[in-house]
Amino acid sequence: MKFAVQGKAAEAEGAVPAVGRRKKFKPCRIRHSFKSNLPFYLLFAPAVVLTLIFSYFPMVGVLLAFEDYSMFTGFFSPLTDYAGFGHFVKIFSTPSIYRVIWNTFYLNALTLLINFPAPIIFALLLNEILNRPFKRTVQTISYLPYFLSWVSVTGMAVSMLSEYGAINNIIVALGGSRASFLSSEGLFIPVYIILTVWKGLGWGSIIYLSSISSASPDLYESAQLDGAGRFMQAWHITLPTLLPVTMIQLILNVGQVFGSNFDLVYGLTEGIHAWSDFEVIATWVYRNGIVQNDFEMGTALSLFQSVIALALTLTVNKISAKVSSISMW
Amino acid sequence: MKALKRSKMKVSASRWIFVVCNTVLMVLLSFLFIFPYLNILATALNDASDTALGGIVFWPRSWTLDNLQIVLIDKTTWTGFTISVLRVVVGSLVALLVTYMAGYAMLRKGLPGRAVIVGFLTVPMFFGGGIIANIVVYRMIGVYNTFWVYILPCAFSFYNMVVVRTYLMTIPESLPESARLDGANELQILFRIMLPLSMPIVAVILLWNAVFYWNDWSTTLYYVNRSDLYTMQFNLQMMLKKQQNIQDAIANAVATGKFGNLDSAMTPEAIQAAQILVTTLPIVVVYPFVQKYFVQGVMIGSVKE
Repeated sequence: MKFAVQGKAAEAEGAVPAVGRRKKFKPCRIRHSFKSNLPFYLLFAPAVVLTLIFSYFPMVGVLLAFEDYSMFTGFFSPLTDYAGFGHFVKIFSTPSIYRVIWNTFYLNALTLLINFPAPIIFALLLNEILNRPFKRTVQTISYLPYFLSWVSVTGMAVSMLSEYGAINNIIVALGGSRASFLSSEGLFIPVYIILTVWKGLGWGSIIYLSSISSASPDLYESAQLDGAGRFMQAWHITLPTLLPVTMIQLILNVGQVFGSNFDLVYGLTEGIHAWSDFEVIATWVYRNGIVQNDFEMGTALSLFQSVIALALTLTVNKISAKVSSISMW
Repeated sequence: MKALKRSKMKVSASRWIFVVCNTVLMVLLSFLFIFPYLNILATALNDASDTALGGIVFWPRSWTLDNLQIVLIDKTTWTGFTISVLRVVVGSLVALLVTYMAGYAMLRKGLPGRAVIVGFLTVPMFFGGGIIANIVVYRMIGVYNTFWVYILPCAFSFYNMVVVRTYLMTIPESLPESARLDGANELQILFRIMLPLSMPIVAVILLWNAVFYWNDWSTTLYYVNRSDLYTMQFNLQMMLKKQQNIQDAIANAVATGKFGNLDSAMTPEAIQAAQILVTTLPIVVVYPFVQKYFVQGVMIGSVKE
């Protein structure tokens, strides 16, 4: 306590008299009295309370996956029956579940493969546009899809692909004949990928464009003196500049390879023009866990998904830290 | 300056070809970015029975406001609009307050237990209980199926907190310090000194949340089943999903007597397009003016500590 008071006195006197004290206490950490710290704890309080309730309580709720849940006993009651890993065994002995897991992985891996490099390429090409108003206009337009909800995007896609929609109208205008896109299931994945790229391309490029502009102009000048062309400059200066931010984005993205874009898959598979019966983990959890009320099974599959996602993020982060000394923490 | 130097460079033929191709590509891409929206605009403003003949791409052939009117006469649209606006306003303000306060508190050096608190707040970024566990918890604490489920669960965002902190770090420490010496308490420092100095980041956080809240619809799907709490996006999804909802909307419009006999002339596609237009228009009109704040936010967020 005495120490704390001393610290406060030093703080009140300003930086100069504190020097003597700092010599005495080697690790020169700033210390404040509890009373002066209290407001900061209070400022943290709403965030901590909300996180506790809305993020940590559900983590405990994951216990559902190991219980025979009953609405009447709740999930902490001594009356609860424990199923152990029973629900997991049940899930993984359902043959159709492997299809769902594979779909989730396949769709996301494909999206990552195309969606990850696309904004980088777009940023590099946009960077080569030297006319600033033109560049800015293209940028602003490219952000439009980001601001639209997935619901309206799926609505637009279905409308455009319908029998008398825009795509068919263009085909007819070019002399072709109408095709029924909405009944050919094979188109589900291409459309999914195109929509993800369309929505994320402009927005995703911001972070890369801002890194590009942070590269030192001196580097480009000396490269020019050495006779490097624009392509060589992009290859040897711009790309290496982008490496750190690219790695961070990659880590974040790979962690999501087992997540799902529920809005998009649901939007394309449910509705008047239900496209296909393509099912991913998130839609399976919704349709079986919530709609059919199979709470335990749904939670078990969710948990499986979360654990894999966590493991993936940690692994990629570790690999990245080793290979390029860039990591998230 | 840089551009001047570049223009002095000798321009090779391959460079020319690249510049031309690149420019053409960018124009093409820009068109592709807005094309689907133009198409919806055209479909929504074109006579439904005329659209059904085909040929509408991005310009209406036979202008009409009927489709829009049917959507706008529908009471569901206005209930949804009210809920969505309420959610955007209340939600963004609450989220700003919670996130900003935590971001400011993060600045306090040597706060005992700070690392523990920050760690506590980080974990949910990487692991969650899943929707079903959420439902069980929301039911237990009573936010399930209430307006608060729209506000509270997503009020705090770790990422946004870090963005706030990163921005606040650029404000000289001497400012809050001297106010403290003058006897100001932390709340006064926060609201009278820090907040006015950090308006750009306040705008970023407000707008990020506003767009998220406006566009979100799965929260309604998972946690709400009262039609008086449905948001606009949810209504849109219902309309895309069920023929019945469209027919209801048309029947409601016919019942007002303003349209004569519409049933035969209306198509689901036209109503859906009008609904998409109404749902997205507020954001499409506003975004060109506020996008610079979004971009700033992304840049601040990308600065690694």
